[in-house]
Amino acid sequence: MGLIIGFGEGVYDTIAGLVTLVVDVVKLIAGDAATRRTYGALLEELARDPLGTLAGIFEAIIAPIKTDWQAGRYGEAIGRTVFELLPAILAIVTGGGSAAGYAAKAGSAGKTVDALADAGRIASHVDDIGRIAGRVDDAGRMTGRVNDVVDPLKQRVDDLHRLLDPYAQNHRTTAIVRGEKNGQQIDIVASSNQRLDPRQRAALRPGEIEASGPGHAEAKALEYAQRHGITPQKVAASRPICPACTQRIAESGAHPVSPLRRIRSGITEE
Amino acid sequence: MMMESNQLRTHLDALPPRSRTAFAALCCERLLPTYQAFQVVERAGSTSVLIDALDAIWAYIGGATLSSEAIAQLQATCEHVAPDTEEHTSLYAELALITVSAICLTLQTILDQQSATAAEVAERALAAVDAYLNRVADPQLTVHAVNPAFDAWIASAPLFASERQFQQENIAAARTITMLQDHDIARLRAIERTRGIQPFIRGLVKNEMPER
Repeated sequence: MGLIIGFGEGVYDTIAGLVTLVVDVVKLIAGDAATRRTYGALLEELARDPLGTLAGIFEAIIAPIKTDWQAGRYGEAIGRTVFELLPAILAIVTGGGSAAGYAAKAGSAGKTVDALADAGRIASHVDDIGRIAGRVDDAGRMTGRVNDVVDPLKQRVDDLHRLLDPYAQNHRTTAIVRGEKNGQQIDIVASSNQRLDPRQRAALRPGEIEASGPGHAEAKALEYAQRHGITPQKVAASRPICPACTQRIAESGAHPVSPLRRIRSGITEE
Repeated sequence: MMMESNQLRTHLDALPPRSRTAFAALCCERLLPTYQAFQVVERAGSTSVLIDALDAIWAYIGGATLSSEAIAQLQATCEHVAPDTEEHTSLYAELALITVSAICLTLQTILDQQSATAAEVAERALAAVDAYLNRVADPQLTVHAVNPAFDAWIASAPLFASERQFQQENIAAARTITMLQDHDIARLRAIERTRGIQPFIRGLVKNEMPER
């Protein structure tokens, strides 16, 4: 079973990675500035230190294999080796196009934070093979493995959320939608309450705008963007994003850079 | 002349630990009816859990001991009945969450004996007024940008000024708390429950809660 799971995760990751890669290559060709920014750090890193970056990539691939093996999940480890490590070696040796997909893994080594987060690979651990198929549909929209790398926008939303008292932190949500208008970056900050807490308001920086009103934090910030002609790019929330907000994010053309709430057998999990 | 936050902190620093807890507990009593309103409006939560926690806090103020384990247990029980503002959308859910936070923080003052923690409870009480006014007085019902003039109005609104005034009175009451008899404390608690936002007394929410 473990082998199947490891294999399944490899299949999922590979398909998700390919979908993202294709989408991103198209965006790069079309001159999409956001995508260029996303991969800029990685490309620069490869140009500056090709061997070190490749070492980082392999380190990032090998780490979960090592973890599985040490935890006695031998099947998963073998599955990952077959589906992740060997193709990565092959791709780099042959110079194949999928090398770029593996290069995104370097983000785990802390070198390309944005690259990985944007590379479309948020998927927490897949518990069984049956869940993989449903997830592949959304693979292009998902973001990277959150446990490996934290997007700076996620860090910022967590910083703002920590300003709440510890009891409120568990019962409300803070979200940031990063958008762009006339070439200017704008961060829209919102809460699942009508307003941000007074302490959060006081901590907002220039370029951060509070959205007030009803609704979930993510949906509120997205609605604000829509009403003000701001193009949403990324969304980060202090808690896993609910399915309805995930849908709204996808419809807006933005992508989440923090975990999504998972649904299994009709039950929503965090 | 009303107190500003830094003045409040100075007053709290000068109080003995049990009096600081008493100050925070009085703020909580004022918030409690908003939790009751949440329970009525949203048919969720448990006011009696919060009252039990407040009873334990007042017993401590009256001289009883409260172990750290008992405090942690009370905090966990209170947090368990805190609404999530993603699931409960009424104004009273926001206020109920603030009430739970204030009670848990008041319990924390017993453990840490810090004036900063008691001051945080006072801040929660002000945050409740802020949240209330933002919901009921904001002319815009849909998602919108914040109007600085509206924020300035809230800061000077009579309800906000009243809360600061009540806190000043609570400091004075907390100074003498150890000299009060049980019936005096009961009266003080009852008075605080008739102050503040008052969803029941002002008829904003129909009172369907059993008296306790």
